[in-house]
Amino acid sequence: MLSLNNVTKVFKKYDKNFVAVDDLTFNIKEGEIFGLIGTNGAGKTTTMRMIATTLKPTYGDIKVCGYDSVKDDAMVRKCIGVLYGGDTGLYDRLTARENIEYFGQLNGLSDEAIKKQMDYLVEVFGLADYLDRRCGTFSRGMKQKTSFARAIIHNPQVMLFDEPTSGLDILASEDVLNFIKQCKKMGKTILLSSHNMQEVEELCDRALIIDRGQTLCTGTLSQILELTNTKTIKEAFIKLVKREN
Amino acid sequence: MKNKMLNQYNIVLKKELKDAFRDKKSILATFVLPLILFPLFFLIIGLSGDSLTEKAVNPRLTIVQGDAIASLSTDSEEYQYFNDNIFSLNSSLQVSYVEVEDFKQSLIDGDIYLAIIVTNTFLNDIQDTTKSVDIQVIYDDRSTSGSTAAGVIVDLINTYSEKLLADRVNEIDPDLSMEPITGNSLSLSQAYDDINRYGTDSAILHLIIPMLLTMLISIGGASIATDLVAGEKERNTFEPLLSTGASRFSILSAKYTVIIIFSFLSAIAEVLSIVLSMLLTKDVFATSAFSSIYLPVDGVILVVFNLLMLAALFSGLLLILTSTSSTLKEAQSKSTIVMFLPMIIAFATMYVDVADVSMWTMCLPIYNVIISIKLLLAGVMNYAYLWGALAINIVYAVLSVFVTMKTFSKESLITK
Repeated sequence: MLSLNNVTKVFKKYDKNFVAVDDLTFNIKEGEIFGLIGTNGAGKTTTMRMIATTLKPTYGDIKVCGYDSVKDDAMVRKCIGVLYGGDTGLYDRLTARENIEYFGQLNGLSDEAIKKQMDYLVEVFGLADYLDRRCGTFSRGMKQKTSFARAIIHNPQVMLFDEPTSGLDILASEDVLNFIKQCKKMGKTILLSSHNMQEVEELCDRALIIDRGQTLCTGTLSQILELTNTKTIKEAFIKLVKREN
Repeated sequence: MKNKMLNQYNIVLKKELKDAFRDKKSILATFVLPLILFPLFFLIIGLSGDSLTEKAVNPRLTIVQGDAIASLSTDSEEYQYFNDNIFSLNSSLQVSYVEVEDFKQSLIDGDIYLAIIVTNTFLNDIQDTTKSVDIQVIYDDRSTSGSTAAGVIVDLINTYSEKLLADRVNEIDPDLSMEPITGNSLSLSQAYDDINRYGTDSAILHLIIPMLLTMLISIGGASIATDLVAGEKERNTFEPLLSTGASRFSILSAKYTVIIIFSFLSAIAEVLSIVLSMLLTKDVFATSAFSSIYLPVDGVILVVFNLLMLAALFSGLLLILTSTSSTLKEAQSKSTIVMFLPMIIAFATMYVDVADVSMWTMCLPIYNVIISIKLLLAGVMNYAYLWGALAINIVYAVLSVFVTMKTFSKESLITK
């Protein structure tokens, strides 16, 4: 469903090359949650951005639902739903309904399809009470739920979560984790970028540990523990990153 | 494919307009301020003008004789002479005569607007037909009220002098003409009914409207432009937007259009404001300049297209600035620099003679649009200039669109 083959991303700044992602290869099957684990600046967000087509790989190729991320970028974007971490980006002067509808329209959904999907999402996330209120007045939790609905209004096959719990309190983080589990139940293919080992252990089927753009280890969580001879993913991660440094 | 992109463009445009019209700050900066600015400006000018006129017709003055520094009293014959013969020439003049001990100090302190200095033998000299009597009017040159009042008094003295001369000539020969030659100037439109020119005597028409219209078309959309990309980045809505099925070109074109729409709306609000102000204060400003206006349709179309191209050029510039900014504050700082450019160029056009405009100036953006509007308003249809300016402005607009598209497709738009 999602595959990266020898993907490298090089940024040029002041005639100097900086390799943000170096020869990254992995694939994710349908209905699977795959964790991309790394410290800040490891290359997780750059990888996410390349999959979301906002950045182009310098080398290698990315396939999403069979579409190439460079040649068929518009089709790729229709197949994915993206949820970025930290402060949820909503248009404060638009209502929750208008925010969700806007993304549905941009993803090519008909008015009828938007209405049908909206009814479903309103029920799933309990948005009915504030659906027609402007988002600027929302609490963090209300914003979070609205952005979940917005991310999947077009019923994407692949979901990208870039450090989704970053900066959230424990209750808001719990909502995010439950949402990701819900997406898995819906059969979505999920890529979760995180540096929170606890949520990786709770959610992921397989994972890849990345440091300074390079793959340190990949496999199922039990394979990673076995390879590193550790008991937790946190220990495995620290051992791998320290060995590399 | 084209239909799909057009559909995406419409969706983004509709959303951006809805969002923008709900933004009170943008509405205030784009419409409300331009609408109230001019009536307020005219009101203040009108009030200060009224106050100046009032001071000129009610001047505080004194009369001093010879080398004295103290005033003559109101009982003096000299004061009576001025009051009966000179001040009385203007029925609306109400002199406040102030008796002071030191007229120079009183002028400096602002106690009086002016001092009239007459010779010791003033009354005798004025009866002597062989003599020319010298009267000095001294005022403080820092004071507008003083210079205005001095002008009024000197005019009265000169009028009285002419009257005195006429009386003396009349005594010698009653049939003698006092004006053997009179010179009058007439403009072409005053001399011939078939010539439509409105003259350059209306400052509102020939200075303010072209300058303001052009400046607002250039930068009227600045407040909305800063929000369109930098604002989205700051609110974390930009990356999710770029991750949707919409193409960057559709998103960019819609944002471009929103800036142009806001620039035009801002300029229209300003023109409405000027017309409204002129109607409200018609006794102060010449509304007749508008009533006699004749605008040829082809000239209007050329000017509107020139304005549209200028709006496209500046919308592009503003989009480049907001796209290369990470925060609203950074975008606003960059826009402020761009806002000075039209102002400086606009001021350079203030004293341009539209009947003798240099053709090379058609290459200067902003400048060429202001001149085009001035030509149209003055009825000088210099088509070579108007078409030339349009061609140049199209080139600038296309360049601006091209550079904006390049900037918008850069990866640094996201990674910065």
